[in-house]
Order: sequence, then C-alpha cells, then structure tokens
Amino acid sequence: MTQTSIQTLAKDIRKGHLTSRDLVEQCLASITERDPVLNAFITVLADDARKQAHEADTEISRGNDRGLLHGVPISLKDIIDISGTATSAASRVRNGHCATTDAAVVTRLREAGAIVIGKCNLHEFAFGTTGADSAFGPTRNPYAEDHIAGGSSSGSAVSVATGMAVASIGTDTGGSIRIPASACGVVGLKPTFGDVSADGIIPLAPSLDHVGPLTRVVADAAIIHQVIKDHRIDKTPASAAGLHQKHIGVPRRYFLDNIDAAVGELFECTVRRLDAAGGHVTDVDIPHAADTPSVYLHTQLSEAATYHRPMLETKGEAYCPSVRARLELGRYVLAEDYLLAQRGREILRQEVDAALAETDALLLPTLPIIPPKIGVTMTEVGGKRDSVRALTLRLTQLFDLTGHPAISVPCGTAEGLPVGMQLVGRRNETEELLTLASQFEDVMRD
Amino acid sequence: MTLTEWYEHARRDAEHRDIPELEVLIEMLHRETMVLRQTDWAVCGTLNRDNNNFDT
Repeated sequence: MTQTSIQTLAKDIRKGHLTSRDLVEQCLASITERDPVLNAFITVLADDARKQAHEADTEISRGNDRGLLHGVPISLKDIIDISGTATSAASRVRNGHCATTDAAVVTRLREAGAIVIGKCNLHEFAFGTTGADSAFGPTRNPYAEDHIAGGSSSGSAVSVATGMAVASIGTDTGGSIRIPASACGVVGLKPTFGDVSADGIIPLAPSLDHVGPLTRVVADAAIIHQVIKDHRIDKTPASAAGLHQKHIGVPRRYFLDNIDAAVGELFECTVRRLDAAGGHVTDVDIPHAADTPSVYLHTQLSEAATYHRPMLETKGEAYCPSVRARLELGRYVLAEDYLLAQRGREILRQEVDAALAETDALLLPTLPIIPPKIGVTMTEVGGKRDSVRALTLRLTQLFDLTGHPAISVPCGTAEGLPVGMQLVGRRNETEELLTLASQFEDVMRD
Repeated sequence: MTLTEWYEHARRDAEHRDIPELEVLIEMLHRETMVLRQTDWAVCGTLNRDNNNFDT
C-alpha cells in the first residue's frame, strides 16, 4: 500500500474495491505499529479521520464525487493551523495554543475531500534540517532508526514513506521539504514561490517560505499541488513524450565539488540513464553559487528573528537550545548586510534564470551526504570537515532564495539509505517541472 | 561601524547572554558577513541588461 498512487487508490474506491474507511484504518494501523519508534506524529486525529472517511464513502456512493483526493488520508506538518487543534511547531513555546481557523491550504484540501489524519513532528519551528531538535523528541529514519529523517518536515516524510499517510503537506525555507523527502525515499515538491498561500502557517522567513506536498510518486505531487494551488483539476502530468530531446543542465561547479562518493556515483549513473533515454545533458554554471550560504544566512536569520523576537524575550528558555541560539544570532545581523544579501539574491535569481534559459531543467543531487546518525553535527566529505547543517542546505537553499520550483525524486540507495535527485524548473512553471519530473521518474524506474 | 568593531561588540554582548552556542555562531556569522561584503555584486548591472526575460 505504501507505493500505491492516489490515482490508483481513487480508482479502487470508485470501483468499490476499497473504501476511505479502509484507507484510514490502514494508515492508523501503520501509525500504531511504527510511530512509537519513528515519532512522526505529534497529534493523531483518529476519531475525526474515521468520521470524515465515513462521510466521504457516503458522499462518493451517492455520486457526490469531489475528485481524486476525496477520502484520501493526508498528514500535515505541525506548523499548519487546523481549527480547534493545537499548532505546536514542535516547541514548548507554543504550549496551550489552539488554532481558531483552518490554514488556507487546509481549506483547499477539505474542499477537495481530503482527510487530515494527523499533525507531524518537525524540527522546532521548522528551523533545522535534521528533525532531531523537537520538544517531542527526534523523528527517526524508517530505513535506519538511528539516522536522521531529514528536516524540517521530518514527520511528514516518514508518514508518507511508511504508509501512515498517503501524502503530506510540508514547508520549505531552505530545503525542508526536499531534504527529508530525499532522506526517506519519497517525492518532495517545493513549488514556485507564492504558488501556494502560507496563510495560517507559522512563518520561518516569509520571503523564503514555500508550501508543498511530500508524496509517494510525482503524479501524486501534481494532484495535490493543483488542489492546494488555486483550483482543482483531475489529471496527472503527461508522461508519454518521455525525456527525448529534453535539455538538462548540470551545475557542476560548487554543487558537485563537495559530495559523498556514493552520492556522486549515483548522480553520474542518473546522468548516464538520462543520456541513454535521449535527454541532452550539458553542464551549466551559476557564477555566484558559492556565495549562496552567505546570502541565505543573512536573509533567513533576520526574518526568523523578526518573527520570534517577542517569544525570545519572554519564553527564551522554552526553545530547544540550538534553535534558540540561531534565532538569537539573527538579532545581530545589521540592516545593511540584510539589504546587501537582497542584492546578492537578485543576482543569483538572474543567474539561475540564465542557466534555465537554454535548458528545460537543472539536475543535481538533493543532499550531498547520506543522512547521518542522530546527534552528529559535523561530518567529513571529500577530506573536508563541515557542519551537517551547512552540508544539508548546500544544494537546496539557492532555490528558496530565487523562488524557482524544485522537486526531489528518489533515485536509489547508498549504504541502505535513500538518495534523492533534484530537478529545478523555471519560475512560474511548476506544472512543467512536474511533467518533466514524472518522465524522469519513469526513466529511473526502468 | 567596521565589521571588526561589529564583531567585537557582538562577541562581548554574547558573553553576557548565557546562551552557550551563541559565541561560536557569531564567529560563523562574522565569516559569512566578510564573504557577503567582499563579493563583487556589481556584476548585476551587466547581467540585468543582457537578460531580457528577467521579471521581478
């Protein structure tokens, strides 16, 4: 069941081979079986989900069909508001909170008939890439329980990888959808900036925050993106054309300079397969790529500190220590450096646009390393020691700065842990990227 | 305020904050701010003129 697509599930429900109640019970059984160890959920909405499933089955049987997501159980990262439910942000700072309205994305999902099965664990306030720092304890990787699940949408990725939910909604500020998707072997889509409303979602850095799905296959991401974007369409991306004649750009300099050997091997294997499938793979360059971390740091820290200032001053002790320290760090950034970073950001955006002007998409790994063990903060790659945080952000954060859509697609394993490859599309062309990613997924499966 | 003056001020301030990781992080921010300020961002003008497709 953990590999069955939404389209297949929807077909089975309409043929009477499956009910929404069956689906919800299967997800709840997975939660009961695996979540005590994996820690993917903060709140499980079992009673609500069962009730909604019953209603969905009744509506569908009466011909009131709301489309492919009708009756499908979905999980949400616990920074997304559901009316009447706590939005914990995996933080003690939020103790006693109760949302009074649904986030915009929840309204869209409910209108499409989706069932919210629960709210997922995350790196506290979405400010981290491991999923290890949470008031509710670390989320564990389902492939190796002493390894990180990636973050910050850690529980979302685990819930999809293990069948605890059919899909999940996460947020991505520096890679927080794509990183856990890669680490847990699922698909993670960060759409074009602004495609999906962030209303009712706790911000991390508002000019960088993206909302998107984590799913089993690319077609599921396309279905959910259409629902949470602006309108619902019941179609999946066309994949018949294949990758023949598609131009794929590989930004080798900086992005492939410092990656784990096993990830590098898988990447070169991916390039060869694309080539064999008729794709044109060429090298491209992002001239200022190496300056990305400094631009990202000054942007993200300043914006996060602005939102958190009142809580830091009154409830500082309630944060996880490492998250609190980085939030406090944002209060030392000077306005002139924030503005200089925005100038740098504009240049990076133009450079990514230029790289995509003659290619259909960029291809690079999602993570330069295999997900490390929980608690590891420094690691060595290519003889160079670096922080896990810097390494995990290295290949993803640029596209949060520039707003280009990017998707992580599973492409094999290394040392028993999943490895994802990232495709990046042109701004405001998320659907085109999804179509290409679906073709890419087919090639990788063959 | 020069970057060196900012760094000294931030370091002294952090010493009084009782947040153990902060001092190391300020050192990291100092390094990244040096990179940000030393980068030649002026190339932007050239790129902007050459890229007709760019929209903000």
